[in-house]
Amino acid sequence: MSIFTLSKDEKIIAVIRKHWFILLRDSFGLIVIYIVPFIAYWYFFDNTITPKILIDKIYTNFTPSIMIFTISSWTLIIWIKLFAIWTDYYFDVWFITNKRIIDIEQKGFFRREVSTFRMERIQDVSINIKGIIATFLDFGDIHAQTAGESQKFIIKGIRRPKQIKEIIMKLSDKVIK
Amino acid sequence: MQLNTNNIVDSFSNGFTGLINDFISNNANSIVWFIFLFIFAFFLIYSLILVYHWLKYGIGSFTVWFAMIAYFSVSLICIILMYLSAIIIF
Repeated sequence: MSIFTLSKDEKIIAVIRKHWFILLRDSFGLIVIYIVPFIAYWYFFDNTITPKILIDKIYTNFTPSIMIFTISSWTLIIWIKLFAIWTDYYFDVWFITNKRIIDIEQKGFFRREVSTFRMERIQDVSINIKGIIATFLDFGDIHAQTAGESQKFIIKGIRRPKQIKEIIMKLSDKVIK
Repeated sequence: MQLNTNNIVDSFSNGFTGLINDFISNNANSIVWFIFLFIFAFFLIYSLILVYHWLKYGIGSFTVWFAMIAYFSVSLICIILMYLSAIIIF
């Protein structure tokens, strides 16, 4: 792994990513933006409220080749942006090893934060599942308090937070003993 | 003296849209190719950045390879369609 190096007796216990619903929520705006021009086109097409000038300028001049050019250009732009969102989502990852938690956060393209929390420094771990969707799809946030400093670390929108909390607590207890 | 606002609005809008019409019809070819090249440049720059991240941080991951294939397949189809339709337009 090029992002971090494991020590000799260290092994990865779990690799955690955000729930797929987070990706859906983040890309929802983009999907709406993509659909709006199509809805507007079909709604105003042959509609009595559409001014004649608009019909003359847009609809009568809209040949199939112009339409294909417009749709494919628009699709390409949205497709690229969608993968930018996916990249941001996919590279937000947490590695739980038997010794520490490695938190890798991709913030945009050119900002990447890698933080490490040693298991023996972890004190309280709590989970936060907010709302009906999070309850049914089983995702939420994990809040962990670290000793020695008043810093809290939060893992947001992860799958199965209860199980992950149990894993962290067990590993933390094991390290302390 | 009564001011005929309809005539003023008509003459203004006809003049304005006429100006736009003239501009578009005189430069239609350049406009379409400019849009094509602009979007293609946008695609190239974004793809370089995305591929850099995928290869640097996601190498060996099946999901990343699958994402790359999906990304470039759909993008290629869109670019080909854009290119062909741009040729057909003129």
